[in-house]
Amino acid sequence: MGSCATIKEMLTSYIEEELSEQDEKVVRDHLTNCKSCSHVFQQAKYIKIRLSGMEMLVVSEEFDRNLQARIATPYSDENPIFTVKNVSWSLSGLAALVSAYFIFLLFIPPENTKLAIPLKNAPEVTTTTNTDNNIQNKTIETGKAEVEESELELPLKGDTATSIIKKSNTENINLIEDKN
Amino acid sequence: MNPKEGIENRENLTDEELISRFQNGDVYAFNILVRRYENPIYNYIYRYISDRVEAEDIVQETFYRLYKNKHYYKEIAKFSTWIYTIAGNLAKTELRRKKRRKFFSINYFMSTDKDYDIPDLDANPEKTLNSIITDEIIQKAIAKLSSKFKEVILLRDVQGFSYEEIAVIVNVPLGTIKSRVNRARLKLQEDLTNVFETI
Repeated sequence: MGSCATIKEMLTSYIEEELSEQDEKVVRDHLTNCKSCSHVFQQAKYIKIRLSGMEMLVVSEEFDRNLQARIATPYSDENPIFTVKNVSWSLSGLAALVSAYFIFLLFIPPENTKLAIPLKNAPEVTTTTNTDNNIQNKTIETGKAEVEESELELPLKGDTATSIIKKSNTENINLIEDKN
Repeated sequence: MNPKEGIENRENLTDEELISRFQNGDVYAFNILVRRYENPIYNYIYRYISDRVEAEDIVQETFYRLYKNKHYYKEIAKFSTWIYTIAGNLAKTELRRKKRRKFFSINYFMSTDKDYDIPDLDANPEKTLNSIITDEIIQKAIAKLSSKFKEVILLRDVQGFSYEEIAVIVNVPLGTIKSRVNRARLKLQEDLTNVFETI
């Protein structure tokens, strides 16, 4: 006797009487002993019969006339571009794109926008570049990147950009001299 | 074409003979093919996409394409499998479009997947099994099937095609078709089991 899963796989062929005699006997024996599979079989068989007996629907009275009219129309392209459906979808797409653009502007300000309250004498860009150069110089000289904590510290409020550049350049020169 | 040939004689011609005549300019042969296939294809497409208006549009498009591209048909194929392939492909495209539209509609997020309305048996004790499991209930169960199961079960059980013909229409190996039909029937049975239990 086959397992329930095996029997279910053969159910359609059993319903349509397409199984070999041997397989048919296996399924029949199983269905006699397994109430659950027997239940499934009865319902599946009923569904098959119901599907083939479903009401035959008929096209509308205008169908033939509409088809003839379409065939007779010289410009009835297979995929007309300017149909109401296409235009409305295009407009919806455009509206979605415009909305997305405004949302983008609302939440993500452009990169060059300054902060509303800028830090006094805070030359962010210059400092970063110099620090990077500093690390790079050290790497060239020593063969490995040794970054001191003080080098990564943010500039003091009172420091000006020029003083920081001078300071870091001096440190660079000192470092190179020390090595020499 | 013999001009003296009666219209009745042409009605008796096979599909392949009719399409051959149409390819040679006999428009009346085309009209016979339309009359022969409009309702069966309409049934297939309606059961597939569950929308009567769209289904009729697809049937119209199918025959329009047949009219415009009659020379694409080659005698090696059966006319019925060829025309069903065209209709089926159009229906699949429409189904995909519908899915996209459904996804972007508000209803998609708000809808509750409402199950079948199980009839009140006490109110209609004399009703038979067929009137309880109505076409509408079966149609809803079919609509729940995935596209690949739906097309094979409709072609097999509703349209009555052989497995070999379905394999040509769907362009899938014979063994896969048999397996899909079996699984589709079991899925329908699972889905309708609650309705069966009320009887």
